[in-house]
Amino acid sequence: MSNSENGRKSVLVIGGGIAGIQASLDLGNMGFKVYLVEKSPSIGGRMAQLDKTFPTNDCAMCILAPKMIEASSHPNIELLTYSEIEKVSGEIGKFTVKIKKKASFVDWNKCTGCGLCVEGCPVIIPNEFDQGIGKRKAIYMLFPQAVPKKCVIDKGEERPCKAACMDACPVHTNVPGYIKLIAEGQFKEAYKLIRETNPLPACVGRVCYAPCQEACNRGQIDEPLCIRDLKRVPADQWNIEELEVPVVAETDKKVAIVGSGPAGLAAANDLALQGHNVTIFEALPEPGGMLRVGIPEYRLPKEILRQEIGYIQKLGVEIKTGVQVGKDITIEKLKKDYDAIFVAIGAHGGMKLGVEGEDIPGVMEGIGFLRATSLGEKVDVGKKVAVIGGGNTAIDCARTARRLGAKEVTIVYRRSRTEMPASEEEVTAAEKEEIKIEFLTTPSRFSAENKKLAKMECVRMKLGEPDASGRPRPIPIQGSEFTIPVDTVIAALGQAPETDFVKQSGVSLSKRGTIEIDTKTGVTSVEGVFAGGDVVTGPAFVIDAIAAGKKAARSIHQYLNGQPLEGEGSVKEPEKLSQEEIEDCKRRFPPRNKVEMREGPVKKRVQDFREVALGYSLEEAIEESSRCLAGQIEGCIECHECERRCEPKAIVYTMKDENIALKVGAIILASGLGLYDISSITEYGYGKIKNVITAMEFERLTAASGPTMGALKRPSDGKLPVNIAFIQCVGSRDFRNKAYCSSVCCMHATKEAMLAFEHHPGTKSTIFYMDMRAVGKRFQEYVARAKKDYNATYIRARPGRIEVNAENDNPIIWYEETTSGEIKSFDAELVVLAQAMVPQITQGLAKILGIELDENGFVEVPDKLLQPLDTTRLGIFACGYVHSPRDIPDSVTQASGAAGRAAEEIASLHSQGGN
Amino acid sequence: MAEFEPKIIAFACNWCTYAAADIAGTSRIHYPANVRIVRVMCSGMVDPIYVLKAFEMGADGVLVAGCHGIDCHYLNGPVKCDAMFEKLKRVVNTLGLEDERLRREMISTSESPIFAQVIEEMVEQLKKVGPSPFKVKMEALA
Amino acid sequence: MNLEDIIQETKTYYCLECGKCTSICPVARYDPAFSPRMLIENALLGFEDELVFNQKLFSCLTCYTCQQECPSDVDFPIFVRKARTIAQDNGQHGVCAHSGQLQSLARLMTSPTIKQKRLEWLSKEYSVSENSDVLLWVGCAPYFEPIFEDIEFRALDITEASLKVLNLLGIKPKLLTDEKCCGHDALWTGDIETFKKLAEHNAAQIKEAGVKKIVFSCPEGYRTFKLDYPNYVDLGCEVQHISELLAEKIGQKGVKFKEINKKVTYQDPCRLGRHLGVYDAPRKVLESIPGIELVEMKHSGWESICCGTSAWTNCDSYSNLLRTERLSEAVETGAELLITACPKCQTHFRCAMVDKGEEHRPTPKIEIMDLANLVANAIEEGR
Repeated sequence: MSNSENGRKSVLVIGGGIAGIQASLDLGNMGFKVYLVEKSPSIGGRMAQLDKTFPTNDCAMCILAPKMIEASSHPNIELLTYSEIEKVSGEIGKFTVKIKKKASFVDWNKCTGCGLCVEGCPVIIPNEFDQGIGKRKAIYMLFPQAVPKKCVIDKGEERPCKAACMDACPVHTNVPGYIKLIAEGQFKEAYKLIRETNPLPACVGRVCYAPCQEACNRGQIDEPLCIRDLKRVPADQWNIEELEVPVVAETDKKVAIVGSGPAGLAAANDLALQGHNVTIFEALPEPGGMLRVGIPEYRLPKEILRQEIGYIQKLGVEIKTGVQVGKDITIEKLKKDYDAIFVAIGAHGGMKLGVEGEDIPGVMEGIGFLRATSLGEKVDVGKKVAVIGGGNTAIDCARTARRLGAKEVTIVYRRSRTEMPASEEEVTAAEKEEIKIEFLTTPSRFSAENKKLAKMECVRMKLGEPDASGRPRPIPIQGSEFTIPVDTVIAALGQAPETDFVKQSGVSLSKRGTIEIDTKTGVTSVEGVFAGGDVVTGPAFVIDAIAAGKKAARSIHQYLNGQPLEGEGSVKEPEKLSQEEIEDCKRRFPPRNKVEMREGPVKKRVQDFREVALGYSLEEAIEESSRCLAGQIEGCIECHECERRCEPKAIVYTMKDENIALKVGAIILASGLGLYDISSITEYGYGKIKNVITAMEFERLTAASGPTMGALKRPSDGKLPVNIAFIQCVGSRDFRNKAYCSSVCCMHATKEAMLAFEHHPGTKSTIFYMDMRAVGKRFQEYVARAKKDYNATYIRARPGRIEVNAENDNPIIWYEETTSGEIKSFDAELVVLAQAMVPQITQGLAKILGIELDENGFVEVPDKLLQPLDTTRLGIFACGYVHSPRDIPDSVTQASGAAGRAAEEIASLHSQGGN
Repeated sequence: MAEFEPKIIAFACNWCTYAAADIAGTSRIHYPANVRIVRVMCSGMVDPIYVLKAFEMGADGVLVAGCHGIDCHYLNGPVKCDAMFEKLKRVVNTLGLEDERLRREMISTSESPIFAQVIEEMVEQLKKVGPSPFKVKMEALA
Repeated sequence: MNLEDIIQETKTYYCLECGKCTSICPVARYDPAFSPRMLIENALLGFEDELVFNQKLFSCLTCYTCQQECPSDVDFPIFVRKARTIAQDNGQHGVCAHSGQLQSLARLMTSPTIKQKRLEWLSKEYSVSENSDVLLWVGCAPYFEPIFEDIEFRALDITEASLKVLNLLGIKPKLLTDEKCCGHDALWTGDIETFKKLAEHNAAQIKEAGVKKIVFSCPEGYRTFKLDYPNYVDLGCEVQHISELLAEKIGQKGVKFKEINKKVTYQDPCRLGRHLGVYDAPRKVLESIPGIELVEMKHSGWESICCGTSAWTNCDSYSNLLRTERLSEAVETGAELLITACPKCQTHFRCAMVDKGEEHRPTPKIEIMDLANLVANAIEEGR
């Protein structure tokens, strides 16, 4: 028979459990086209959750998997997983079914089921497949043997923020991702995640100007996240020297990098990870560039820098210090010996004041001052120090001078506070350290006494029209001169790149002396020579340098492979929340102030160069990271980590639900069983008493693919339970819950007792039963075996209460032993409740299908004796647990029966003729 | 109409009052036949239930009699009986029982005329007061 | 009524013999010969004599703990109550405590011509009114006074406190001069004849009084009027427990309380709690008194343990063990005061605490007070 005309010769099977699979196979083998619809991402149903099946104790997955594969590769069976039935109309022979295929956000045509995405996802949530005992990620595969073997993303709710942080960051670090990992205490994973885009997390986490914080959407609600302060947390909480070095296939390409500042280090990191041979030439005796010699120790301890540079060296990068390109070795030589060059020498040249008397000893230039201090050279700093300038360098000089013994430190700046380029935090820190700031002041002359610097003449300024930089131009006020006594002056007016040496190689420079590049690719006017960082932009920030280094590395890699140079794609602007979104967030999330970074007490910290910021404690880190709006939802936070890792590029965040319409001739309902919520049966304390679990939870514990990998450990404390009690009929045979018998629990408790013994031969299982229902083939023998060989005892009683032993948290069961009439207590280490099972069909679905359910929710069967698989709607048949409580063999039997019924009906319609 | 003859139950202690009643008989001292005597070993053993049961069974009056305070064969019987009687009297008063119906006496062996006199008095009083209200039970609901 | 009828009426045939009832039964915990499950099993197997002549049939406290958990929803207390009628027909009545005085009193009260003197205790201090819509049911308190003097329990204290509280709430209730025993004990021990007579009399009295609401300070009377009388007579008015009335009024009228700084614990009476579902009203009242700190016993609410004796029948050493356990729970809470809302509970606890010379098994002691008394002490005068 060919495929249906108008669908008449096709059948819809609802539910991909063993019954649905069996019915599909039977029908498919008969030549019908089968659509197997399953709500979850994979077929397999409850049987996939089982460890073993009774009465043979065969491995459930070993029996199920071949069936699943057969179903998925059967030419007549089409799997529609992660799909739900929306509408059913028509009648037998001519049903029209509307199905919604839920958006999995993963293109299953491309997904290979490799699982790399799952490794990178930072969101950890309880796993329903493991009954909440285990965890999964927001992107996940239902179980390892899933059919189809594809991942889905659990989007849950919409992320409440725009992740503006990621867009604002020059390297687009996965901020929501690593903050989520920190909140979960996963510090190694957080460090690795940051390192994907930024090779110096601990350093940047101390000095970054944090454009992410400015853009942080939480800032529109209460206070922005202290993202920078969080960035250093993984390195604080975990030993970064334990980070493994990946094995990378080496290429035969050699790259020379001039300058070991952040730009050079970032480029070296990325190129080494791609297998290239990298050598960095560093003029100074120590690597690190401005990180080493520009930022003082009290802001960035050199030990931290050494560790992070150390890792880059572990990748195979060689750093030759004390070698100045242009003096000790020429660019021409580099061009000969290396396949590509990256110039990242920064801007280390200081600028002169242009003021009379600046040659007097005691007047020094800021950059040189900081460099000398950082390298441990002796620097003469007097007691009365003036620092000229208004940028972060000026602040660094002032605070360093204070630590070198200066009693009075004054910063002299020609504009006002508003125009001061130094960051707010730095200015506040300086003021705390009793550093004065004279605004709208400029030095006009230095004078000496006894050949030593003694006075600085200053003049007050006022602000005029904006100048070329866009800031108001300072104009000296006539007659406002005054003198400050000084013995040291440090000029921190700015930095200039020292680029003379590249001129000969043909690299074009701008008027300011910076190297000109193609901004998209980082290449200079000379092929094979790239540049980036301060040497291109003039003084900027560390993270900008890192971004430049990464961009250059990308281009160099393409160049080395002979590919055309392609820059980065278009950049997305950071988005703000709308007013409505702000109101919604304020409603949902209570206001929480940021956690302030604790600093060392001022009096002590100015005595030496100890780090001022003390770092978050573990509690502070978790508190602050839990403020992140993106992380408030339990589900995908759209950090795009999976997207980054997916090689076939299967992640599609914009996927929408798909609507499918089918024409079928008959429908088989096989939606299986649900688990009754027994927390309402308060006498057993499920949900309150720790070592009381359900039968399905126990099943997952012994299963090899479960949360404990098959180790029998009780979830509360991981201890091996030797004395296990099983209580039957919890919620079943109970007028106050479900009056019927769930059919399988007597046997599965016996099975679980046997499994417990197999896992650990010392286990003693006690089963509290009312009747032992062992009605199947060889079932009674199975029970007898449990008693004989597996140390299982059966006590006829229905316990009345479970209490807790206060000393060891073990449960105590109170019961009347009905054979003797004695009231007894039983001490167990783990109690397993045989929870009632319910038909897995909602009133909604029943309505859609147009079938009736009985008072317990099972499918109503009009003729129980002669047509037991027919529902109240002609053409729709039911089988398996949704029909009535039954075990696997009986479900499979019914499935074949339902397939037979469906085939019979369709065949008879066909033979009646008509179109 | 026949004249109402009250029925009296007397709980008489073996050593004193019962003996007194006995001697009254042998001495041919007349006392009305309305009384049924229940011999108890000591007035102290009279439990309120005996009195209440007597009323339930249709007694019109009950007499509890025993030795005088210091004469009790078991030493403190009369004390116990007084304590019990005091409470019992309050209970039956609350029930609305007429005072005449429940009487306590201390009658020693040698005081048989007193015994006879007490019975005579009780019969006379009870004739006036009429039959015990506890004789007539309410009809049960159909 | 025969056993078959009882099984049909109470649907006892649903019993699964699972033993859950017995495992939580307070009596079975101490009395090895008592098993609710065995009683039903005997009935279902048709062993009528084993059931009816079993002394233990009268040991059931009818406290309803079993029925809270029974998966077959068997109403065991009603089953027992009906089985006891057959027992009574066969001359069985259990072992009556206090030599049967209380049972005898109830029977004596059925006489239509007695003229009780029930209100001698009523002093000018309390205001009552002939015309009120509200009746305060006095119950057996005047009879208990002499009977339980030895254990220092004056049931009329509760009645007086209830009156005082009602007065302070602006209610001058009516009191009946010819109330008779509500018949609770007769009903639960199977003496249906006595019960019916008492019920008919009381219903007639209520009709004549023409009141709209009867307020009870005794949960047994309350349950009997609310759930049992309607099967036999027509009352034509509402019934309420004083704790419920208080819980209502405290919310509405802005009643002012003095501060009483005491840590207290609360015993849920079986009849008020499990029988009628009133758990919150007394607690609300307690929590409204400033300074009162309520700590719950280990078993509270529907898990509360019965005070140990019901209907003055089969009161034995097991009953005492049960009371001791409950008093231990009360003492363990660290409370200074055990609040009850039932005069029977108070009677039984006080009896347990009377020193019976058992040095080897001393009973835990705690001060007991009825809710009405606590509230009467706490309400501020002259609102």
